[in-house]
Order: sequence, then C-alpha cells, then structure tokens
Amino acid sequence: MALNTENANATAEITGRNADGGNGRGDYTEANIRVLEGIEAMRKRPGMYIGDTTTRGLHHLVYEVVDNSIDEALAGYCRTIGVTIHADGSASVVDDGRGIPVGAHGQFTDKSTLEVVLTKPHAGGKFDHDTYKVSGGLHGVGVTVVNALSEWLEAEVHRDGKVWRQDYKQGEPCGPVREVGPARTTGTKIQFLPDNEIFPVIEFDYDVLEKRLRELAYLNKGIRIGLVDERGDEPKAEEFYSSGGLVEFVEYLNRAQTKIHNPVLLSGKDEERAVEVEVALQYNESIGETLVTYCNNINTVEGGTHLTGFRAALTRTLNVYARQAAPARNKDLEIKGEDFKEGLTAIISVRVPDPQFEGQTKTKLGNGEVEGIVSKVVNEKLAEFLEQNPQAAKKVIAKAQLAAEAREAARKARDLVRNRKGVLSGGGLPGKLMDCTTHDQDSSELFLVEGDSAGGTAEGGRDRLYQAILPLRGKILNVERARIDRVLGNEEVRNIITAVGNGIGEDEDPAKRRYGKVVMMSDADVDGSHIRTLLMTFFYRQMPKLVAEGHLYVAQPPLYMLTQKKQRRYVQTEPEMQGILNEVGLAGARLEPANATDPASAIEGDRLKALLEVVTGLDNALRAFGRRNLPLRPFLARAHPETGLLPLYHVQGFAGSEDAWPYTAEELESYQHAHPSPGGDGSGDGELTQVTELHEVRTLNKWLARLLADFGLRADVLLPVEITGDDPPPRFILAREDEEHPLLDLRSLVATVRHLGEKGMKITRFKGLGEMDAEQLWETTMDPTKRTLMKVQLDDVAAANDLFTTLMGDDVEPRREFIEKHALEVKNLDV
Amino acid sequence: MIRGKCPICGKVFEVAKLDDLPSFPFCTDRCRLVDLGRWIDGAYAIPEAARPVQAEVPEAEEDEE
Repeated sequence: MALNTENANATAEITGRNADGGNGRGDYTEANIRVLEGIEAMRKRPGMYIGDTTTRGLHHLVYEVVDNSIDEALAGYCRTIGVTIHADGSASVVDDGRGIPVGAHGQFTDKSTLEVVLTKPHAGGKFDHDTYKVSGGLHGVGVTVVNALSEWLEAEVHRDGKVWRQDYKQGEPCGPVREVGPARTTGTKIQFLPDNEIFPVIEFDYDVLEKRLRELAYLNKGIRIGLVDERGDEPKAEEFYSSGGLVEFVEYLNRAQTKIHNPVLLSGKDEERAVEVEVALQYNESIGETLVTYCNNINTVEGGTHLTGFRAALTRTLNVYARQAAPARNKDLEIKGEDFKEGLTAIISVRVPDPQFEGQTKTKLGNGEVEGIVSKVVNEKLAEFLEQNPQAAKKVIAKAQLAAEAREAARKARDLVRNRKGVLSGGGLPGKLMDCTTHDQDSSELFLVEGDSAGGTAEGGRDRLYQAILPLRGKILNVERARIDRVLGNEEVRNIITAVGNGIGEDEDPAKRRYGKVVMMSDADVDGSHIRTLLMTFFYRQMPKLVAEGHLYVAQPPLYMLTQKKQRRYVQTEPEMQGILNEVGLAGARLEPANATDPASAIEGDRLKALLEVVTGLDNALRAFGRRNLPLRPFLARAHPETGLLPLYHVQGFAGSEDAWPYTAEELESYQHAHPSPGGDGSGDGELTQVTELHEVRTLNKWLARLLADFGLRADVLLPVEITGDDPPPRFILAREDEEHPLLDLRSLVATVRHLGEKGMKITRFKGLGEMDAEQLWETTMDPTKRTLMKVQLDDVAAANDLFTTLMGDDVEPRREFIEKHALEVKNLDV
Repeated sequence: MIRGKCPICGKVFEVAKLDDLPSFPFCTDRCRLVDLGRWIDGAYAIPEAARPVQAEVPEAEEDEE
C-alpha cells in the first residue's frame, strides 16, 4: 500500500510538471522513474517474469537489456547498440544513449537511479509516457530481472563527462555507484552472466540472438545493432542495419521466393490515441503465408487486434478492387479472406502507448481500439496502392482468384468422388457405359464415341467380349454468344474418369485401368477433330500416365466407300482417294498432241503418271495465282524464252512507268538500282513503286522446270490456243479404251482423268460415323484385323503442353493455328 | 531438360526429367486441381467460330509451297 501511495504522488508530480511545460522532454532525470513493487520474488519465481528458464528465458535476458537501449533510440538519443557474447559466457549490451541517470532517485533518496532501475522491478522510463511514449519489453519488468537472475552484473554509465560503475551479485549491489574516470561520450553498458542456479543451461546461442537483433534492426530503421561472439577460435561478428525498415524486412523474408510485385508499405497514425501503424506486404508465387506481427517491437505470436484489423481490411479492399477492376472469368466465384492469404508475406508493426497482452504466452494484443486504427490505415493506403499500381494489383487479384478456384475445385472433385459411390449411379459405373465381358488389361478396349446415335451404331458393331462403348455428348449451345461450343460437360468428364477407372491427377494409377486401350472415335471432320482435341487435352492433363504409357488411341473411320462391281473398298484420306481415282482413270490411257503425226510422241504408262503429277502440281499452284487477280495469259507469256520459268517479282510503277517483272532477286535488285525511286527514302508519300513477291511462282517454276526437262513442254500448253472468233482447237487428245477425249489445254488433264476414274464406280462420302451402319463401322474402324488405329504419342511432352495451353488460351490466332496444324504428334500404328 | 509452362497459372518450369515433376504438365497439384474444376464445370470450350478458318487451310498450304 505504501508503494502505491508513492506511485500516485510520483505520477501527480510528473503530470504537473508537464502541464506547465517547464521541463523539456529530453530530460531523463531521477524524477521520471517510478517504483511499483519489490524485487525478491524474482529469483523465487523467475517464470513469472521471463516466461521460463529454458533457452527462451535465457535469451530473454539479453532482449530486456537491448529493449532499454531501443527505447532510448526511439526517443531519439541512441544510434548504435552493441551486443557481445564474451569468452567467459557473459553477455554485454552497450549503447550510445544518454546513459542511465546516476544521481539520487526522488523516491529512494538513499539510492542512485541506476541502482533503483537495477533493483526495483517495474522501475524505468518505460512506465512513464513522458520519457518513452511507446516502449518495448515483454513483461515490463525491465532490466531488474536481468540483474536478479544473474550471477554477476556490471553496469557502466557514461554521463556528465564521467564514467560511473556499479557491480552486483545475484541482484544485490556490491557497493554504491562510483566514479571511475572521465568520459567523452555518453551511453550505458550492462554486462552480465546468467545465474546457473536459475538457468540449467547458461550458454547463449548466436543464431537465436542474431534472429532477434536482425528483426529489431528492421523494426527500428536507422539503428545500428552489432553482434559479436568472442567464444571459440574464430570470433563471429555481424551488424544489422536497415534504412528501409519493414520494406527491407519483407524483402528479407521473401528472399528465397519468386515475388510478383515490389513490396508495399502502408503506414499511418491515430494522433488522438498515439497509435502508430506500419504494414509492409509483398505477394510471392508460393501458396504459403508468412505473417509476422509486432506491438512495440514484441513479436505478438498469438496475433490480436492488429492482426484482425489487417485481415479484415486486406480482404475488403482487395475484394472491392477485384469487383470493379478485375472481375473473375467465372462470375460465381467468390473470393474469401483465406484466398488472399496464399503467397502473402506481411509484417504488421504497431506502436501502442498502453499495450494489453493476453493469451497463453502473453503475446496476443488485446487493445480493442487498435483493430479499427489498423483497418483504417490498411483500407486507405492499400486502395491507394492498387489504384497506382494496376499491374501489381492485377497479379495479386489473379492469384487470389486462382486460390478461390482451387478451393472450389477441391470441393467439386470431392463431390465427383462422392457421386461415383452413390446408389443412383448403379454400382459406380456410368449408366451410359456399354461394358464388355472380359476385363483383360491388354486386350480390352474402351471406345469413346461422339454422339448417342453413333454410340448405338458402335454398340451394334462391336465385339462385346472385349469392346466397351461409352457415348459422349460433346456440344452445348452457348446461349450467351449464340453459337455451338464443343465441350466436355460434367457428366462426360465424370463418365470418362469412372469408366477408365485409373484415377486422376496425383492418384492416377495406370495399373488400375479397366481397359488396355482407350480409343477416341469421332467423325473425320472438323467437329470430330475438335472433340478429339478436347479429349486429348483432358487425358494429357488429368491422366498423363495413361497417355505416356501408350494406352490412348484415335480410331480412323473412313472418309469414302467405293463400290465397283459389288466390290467394296474404304478410303481413309483425301490424298488416298485422289490416288485411286488417278490410277483407275489412267489405266490404258494415252496422251498425244492433237496434231501429232508421229506415234512415238504419245505419252503413256508411268510417263503419263509422272506427267499427271506435274500437271496436278501446276494446277494447284495456278489456282493460288488466280487469287491475285492478275491476268493469267499475259503472265504465262512472260515465261523466260530459255529456262521456261516465270518471273518471281512484280514491280508496279505509279508515275506512268511500266511494270517490271524481274525473274530473280538479283534482277529485282539491279532493276531497283537502275530505277531509284525519287521519294523512296522511306518518308512515306514518296513511295512510287510497289514490289510484290509472287510466292506461289516458286512452286509453279519447280513444276515448269520438270515439264520442260522431262516432257519438252512449256507454260503455253497450260492455256487453250488463242484464236479470235472461233472455238480453239484441242492441244491434246487423251485416248482410252475406244474413246478419245480432246483436251483444250494440258491443265484439263487433271479433271478429265479424275472424271474417268469415277466412271463405273459408286463413291459414298461418309460425313460422320452416323452414316455408317453397324457392319460398316465394324469392318472399317473397329475390327482389329482391318482397322487402323493411331496411337497418341507424347514424344515431346513439353512442346505439346505449350500447344494445349495455346489452344485453351484467350488468344484466338495461335489457337486457330493449332487446330489447323493438328500439332499433337499422332503416329500411325497398325494393330 | 524439359521446359514447360503451366496451363493454369502460366508459370514456366524446367525439370531434368518428368519424374521430378509429379504434377506435370502443371507446376503444382493445386493448378491441376483448378484444371479439373474447369473440366467439371465444362468451362473448356472450342467455339464453332474456329470453323470457317478451316476452309482457308489449302490456300495457306499452297502459298507456302
């Protein structure tokens, strides 16, 4: 009771002095120190004051002393703190602050203030907001507890031009404070050896101290903190200093991570309640969260009101921004607070005048007002940052959206498994699956068939012993965009997963697959190729092992059926079909010039076949040339008199000059050299000529060269003879069996031969699987002895992955390219 | 050395062999899960709009020859 009364007096005295402002704040004198209670209990129950007497409590002694120096630094009087672990196992903390006062204390006139600070618990500037507005220290017992729990302690104060010294044993002074010499600087040094009677282990751990001192340097930017270890053969020394504070701290914590933006500092202050808030944050690519919170330099491991305020504000501000600036692709996606945690590294540091610590280890901040203050600062400053850094904001939001999607996906995947085991789905297998009788892992086959009707046909044609059919519905109407999309719906995906049976993703186990081959069977048209592409993407991504181990196949339904004299023949591809028609059309045919007298000039057999190949090539290239809208006859007339080749370039002159037709790049260059364009300096309007490279002429010339070399014919035969007012005479006669077919030009040989090939043959083009009957489907596509299956290979898996990504990406152009080029390597394999 | 780009998050990765990345072709199993979620939603669609382009393929091929 007596002490309490004294306290009240002391407080009243200080307040009074402040009110009249007579004494400057910089004064740190005996009157600032208040004494709250006695010391003796400390050695009896050390746990009450420093938590415990393990390594944690041992190092806490150093922190208490350092905290005093930090307080002095925060008040603006100390710049450097040095911590040393001495060879004898003791530790010392030196600062260049004002030095603890050594004069007589106001309350205990018989003692120096230094002695009061070291022997009276809860004595110290930190219990007086006048000296230190905000102060650190975990339990507020200050340096007294360090003294009480040390075998010995030496205090050295440089103050008022003198060095003062006092020694202690187990908290008791060995004598009064004494002057030992002159001092040029100011500061305090406390050196102590922890008492082995209290601590079972008194060895300081360099790494533990290093971690805390580094943290303190970041939390209190501008303070230089040194750490020296004099034990061992090679002394260790490190200095911690940060000019950037929390921003550098975040960078340090994220040092091993891939960052997605630069660190952000959000800071603010509540003047009325003197609460300061500093938050630094930076997202990285990982999915873990690193969040450290401090109140008055104390690591609030259990969190508290500052953390709650931060979380609420972070979620709110990011969500508001996401809604207006970066809406998710999926509108139903709800981003929750936990989604913003992924990849977040943040440090929250608050300075509160009267911190209340709660929780098991007294490391949970309890001050209610702090929540709102932190929340306000984070709301305002984070919104500002997002507005000013749209790139970073977009990445952060995208990451949270992905996190939300992953959370949702996990739920859907669980539902998928649950439904599979449900009673309704009938024993687990999809209702649509028409299973086979045996389940030999080598010989059994699962056909994934697009469309219910084709599925029915396949059901009729299959060998039910080892062939199973799963019909898939592969399209939906996209109402929003009024078009039909090729998709694999929920039902389809679930059916495939269940039917194949080998699991997906990390659970994929090819040993559990229910079939030896999974065969995709779809129409041989564009729609069919789209559904195949979707399926392949699905398998590649979700069942990569099935693909890698070679169990995925593509069926090859025929494009044509040829019927001739009751003989049926199926044709798989367009080039194959052309080859057949040419062969039939050319059988027994002979080509001769219309005015030929010499029978030896006739072309037949293999030579005619070779000629047809040349003319077909010319025909295709000429069609490409036709799209240029250049008159063909005058162009062909430009064929070089010696080589028979056509010009590769077209130079158009605008100022009345004639067009030029250089044959080669060299000719083009010398033409341009000889005819310099007057305004051709690249300035724009002055360009008077335009050069067009005729790409398809390279192909034309290739075939023209062969036409001349092998058959002695030139470009002119590609067009009819030019005659005015009369029908032109034929250039050639194609004789076959007893018929003679006049050809006005050589180009018409292609169409004529094909027409002849089609004679007497019935050609059926299958537009889809549905146009075949069960028997036809069996003998063309499903019968292992006749069919052709393509095995899906993933030789270059990485390249394939890129292409799939392109396919599903937002860029339309690369996707088109992919679809056109059928980029996934599929190799022919006869089975 | 296998290089790849995660189809979901776009992260580029490089592994010596496939066994080093069990989540292939994704960077992590989490991204694979997101992908599965999209399949289940039917979110992957090849639009019919890709069709007319197909008709122009021969032209492109001829020009290149």
